[in-house]
Amino acid sequence: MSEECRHIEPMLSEYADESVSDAQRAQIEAHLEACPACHEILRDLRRLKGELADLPPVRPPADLKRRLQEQALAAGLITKRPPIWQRPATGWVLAAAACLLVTVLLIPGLGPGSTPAPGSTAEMNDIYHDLRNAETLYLNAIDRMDQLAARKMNEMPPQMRQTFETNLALINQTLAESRTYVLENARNPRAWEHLLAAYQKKVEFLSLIMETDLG
Amino acid sequence: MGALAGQPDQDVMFRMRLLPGQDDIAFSRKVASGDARAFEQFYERFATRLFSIAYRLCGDASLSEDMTQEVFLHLLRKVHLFNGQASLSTWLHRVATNFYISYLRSYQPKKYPHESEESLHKHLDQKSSQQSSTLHHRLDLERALAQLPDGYRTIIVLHDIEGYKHEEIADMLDISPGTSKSQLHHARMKLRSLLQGVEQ
Repeated sequence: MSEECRHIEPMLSEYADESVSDAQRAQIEAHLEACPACHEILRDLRRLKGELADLPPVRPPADLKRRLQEQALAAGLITKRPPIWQRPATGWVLAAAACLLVTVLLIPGLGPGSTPAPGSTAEMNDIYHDLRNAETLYLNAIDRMDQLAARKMNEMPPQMRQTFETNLALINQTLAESRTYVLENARNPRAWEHLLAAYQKKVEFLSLIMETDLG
Repeated sequence: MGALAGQPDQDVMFRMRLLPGQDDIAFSRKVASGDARAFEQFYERFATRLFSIAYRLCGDASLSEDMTQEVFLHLLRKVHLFNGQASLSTWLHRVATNFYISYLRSYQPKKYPHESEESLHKHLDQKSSQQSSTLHHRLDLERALAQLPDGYRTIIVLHDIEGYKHEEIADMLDISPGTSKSQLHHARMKLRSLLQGVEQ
């Protein structure tokens, strides 16, 4: 390694990071033109930098969440939620009713006479096509989840089952109302946003049914 | 129903949001209040990233599990301090990284065992790897990274993987930005030579 290489090589990382001064850049580039060895180091440093930045995330083990929950509970950092059927039924009914109202009545931009969305017709057509596809995907998933949840509810004690059924009925009512608004305001993105939010809500609720511990 | 319209249930309003991170302060308060459901969302949103940082800082799967567990408990105790000046994600990663650095400092006397090949395969996200040659090269890189001296590995992880600036690294490690720059160059050169050894 020449004396000049010994001077230039420590600056190659900063050069690769594009954080050298103009004077340093000129000096390094003049050297690189005449030095294949430093040129190769620079090429490797750039490749390495790119590969490190692209390293994929590493998944934590599946049971880490459960262990952490136990520790957080023991330390009083989180509180255990009572199972849904042990919570006051009115709380859930009111929550679902509030969801219905929020979705249908309180969102600005819903309902007749709302302002049409900006954008060209072709752009908006594409967007509504994607939204319809999103709805289809939700419907397919919910259809399968409905069957599994119904099976799970058949195994439940009557009171628990009734609580779930009451809330499910309210969520279905929310969906029906949201769907009606989308039909009447098919070109209103806010109507779609809240219909999809209602689908998400139903997915969450069906997941809760399926995950309920009957032991 | 009319009375409800004035005060929609906060939990429902919270869960109605489609985009995580839309309201970081509300979310952080929910987590700080001890809400179990918010904690689950908090975990789902940040666990992989925080585990990845821990894993790459220490190069050991078992130790990174302990570190991730400890950092989440630390964050649960600190999340009430989040004030929304940065995004929740930026704030958490900074707090977590500082925690990891000080955690590992107290572990200095202990020598971490290097990962076995099976353990590396098990923890790396293989879904994103379409070609086995890419996977093998990545394993070489992960292995070389784990073999770096602790100081070099820390600088590389913070700068090249996590994207922190030299000034931020200097602040975290209590060194000067100039030292951070020169350490980074030495670390990259060491990693290069380790990889050349692996590839030969």
